[in-house]
Amino acid sequence: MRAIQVQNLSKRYRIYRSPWDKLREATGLGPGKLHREFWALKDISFSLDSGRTLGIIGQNGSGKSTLLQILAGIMLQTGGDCFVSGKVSALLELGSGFNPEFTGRENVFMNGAILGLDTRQMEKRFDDIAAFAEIGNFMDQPVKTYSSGMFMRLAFAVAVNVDPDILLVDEALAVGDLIFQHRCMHRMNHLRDGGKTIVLVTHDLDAVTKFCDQALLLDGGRILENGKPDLVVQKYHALIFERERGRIDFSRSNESPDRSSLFTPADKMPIARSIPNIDHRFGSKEASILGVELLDEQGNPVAEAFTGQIITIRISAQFHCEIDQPILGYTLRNRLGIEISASNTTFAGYPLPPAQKGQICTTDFSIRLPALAVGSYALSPAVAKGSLLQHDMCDWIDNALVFTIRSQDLIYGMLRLDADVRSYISCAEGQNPG
Amino acid sequence: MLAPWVIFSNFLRKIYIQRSLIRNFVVRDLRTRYIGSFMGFFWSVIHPIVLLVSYTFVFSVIFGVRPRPDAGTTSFPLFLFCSILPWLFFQDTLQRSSTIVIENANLVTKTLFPSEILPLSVMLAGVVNHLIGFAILLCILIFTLGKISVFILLIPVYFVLLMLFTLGLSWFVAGLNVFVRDVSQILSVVLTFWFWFTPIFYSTDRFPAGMRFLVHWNPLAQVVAGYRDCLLRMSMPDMGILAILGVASLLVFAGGGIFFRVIKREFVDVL
Repeated sequence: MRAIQVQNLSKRYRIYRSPWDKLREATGLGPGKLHREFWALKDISFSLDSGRTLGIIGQNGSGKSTLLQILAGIMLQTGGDCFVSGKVSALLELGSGFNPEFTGRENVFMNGAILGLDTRQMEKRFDDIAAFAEIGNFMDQPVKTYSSGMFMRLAFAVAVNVDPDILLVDEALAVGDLIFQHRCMHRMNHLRDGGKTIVLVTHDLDAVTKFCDQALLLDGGRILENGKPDLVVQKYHALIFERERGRIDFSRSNESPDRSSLFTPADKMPIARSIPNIDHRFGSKEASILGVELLDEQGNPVAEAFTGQIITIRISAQFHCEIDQPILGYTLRNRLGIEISASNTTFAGYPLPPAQKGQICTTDFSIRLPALAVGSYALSPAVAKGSLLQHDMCDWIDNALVFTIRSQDLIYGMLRLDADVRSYISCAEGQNPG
Repeated sequence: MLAPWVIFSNFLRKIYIQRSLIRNFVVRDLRTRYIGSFMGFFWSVIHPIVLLVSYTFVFSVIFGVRPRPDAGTTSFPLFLFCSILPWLFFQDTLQRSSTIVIENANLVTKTLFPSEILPLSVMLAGVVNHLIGFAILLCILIFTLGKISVFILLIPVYFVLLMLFTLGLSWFVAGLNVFVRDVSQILSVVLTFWFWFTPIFYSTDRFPAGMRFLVHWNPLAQVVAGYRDCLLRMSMPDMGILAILGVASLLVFAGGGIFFRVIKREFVDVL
């Protein structure tokens, strides 16, 4: 069943020089057109099945919040259709409608009424709300005496306890301390597992890949990408990178090149030449990845590796112009697209010397494979220039090499942590030692 | 395009569904005004009394104004109290409604909120104040005149019509003020004129004959006259005028409602 169906949705803002103009035009008393137009959303089409979770990402001003306001029914679209089936609870801003002079309890009931619940329904939920908010005796104090954390806990508690079919959340989780965020996320997971449809507008890309079934990348009011969260997030990274490239001014860092890299004639050095897969590729092309390989202890290419084994990630790149501070590196992701680890030459403490045009560089990262959960993993190699903090991507290939990790041991979760285990057991009741 | 009365009846039905929320807002409105203040609710009584005492001093003591013999009372304060009560309700509601949507911009833009209930709850909070004032007036009447007339039964009719008229205008200024913030300032000016051109301190027949139309077409003047007829003169008000007042109030009520219903769709874009 479709929870949300959006078809060619557009939203135009009219920008007026003065409010009088707006009124004159609205009442038809003015001389025709008195405004400039701004399209906040243009030709948006997507659908979301009921029970699924959608993440909407994009830069500021890309139209995310406008889209959410339209989905919530707060704002009217200019064109197109928007069908939302089910009871909607919109959490566009924590605590909108809270009055600082009133007590927490009064505000809870007031907010419930705004969200469409009468006093009796709120009374049933009150204990849950109080338990989630954990503000104790402050419940009967005016809200103005609350810390911001208490305020947010209470506001969030009300919003998630009105029991919606569809929950729309805008950035609400970006505020608050870590414990609060953790708790919110837990609650959202709970709602999701309970079959609620959730739409989340956020800048937290991790949350999108971990939490959402589907993601939407908006840019300038249009959909740039719609699909699996990891792909959409990658596309977003690429977009940001493209935007930032023209802006960043590179300051030379003081890192001096280490002698750990060896100059070798090109015909004598190992060069990785295969790129098995390209999900997405971006960069300035001042240098390009030639290949990436996974090697075992004997230097043979492998497609699977065992936990505990020493493996080598070999990345080769060619520089197409002079680069003062080249960096070669990789990112390791699991099959869900979650970053397990990332490293590069500078980060690992072996910065590369300045590169000349046409030079080729191969870097071997040898590691003992930790006890990661079995399954498939992907390596994304990259070559960049600059420092750790400020670098400019020359070439990045998403998920260039996919390989499988196997293990002799059982592994629960993402990885196994070996522990020394010692237990203390008390005597059974009635048996005193000695 | 739906007919206006269909739009309006749907509009009213939606408001009815929201009654629980409206109750919350009325309580909030009343409490916000007096919360944290030591005297609390008594301020709603003290303010009119201060007005009454000051006006009485100026008009009765300084200028020596006396109510006309046919006014039903010789006491100027009583005459004034009876006249100013409906006006204060009208003025307070209108003035507070004009900015109420902007004050609650957060609710309008961030929640699915029926903004039409904002002027409505301001008006209902005013009703509570009015009832308190009216109860006091009634006590004074019984105490000084020793009797009340059967025509007091017509007061609710006048008051309900005044409520409809006030609410219609409130919706109108509340909606307009979202777009043009000067509206609440303009309103203050208009209300000042309106106040002095309404026979509150004086009886209707003191009005210059050439300008009498200002009274005839002033619903507030008719309501004030009605209050005096029923409470002080204890005579039957003019039923023809009451009927016209009724039609006018309903028209303003419906017109303001439809105007707000149409214009509120643009609120989010502007706020």
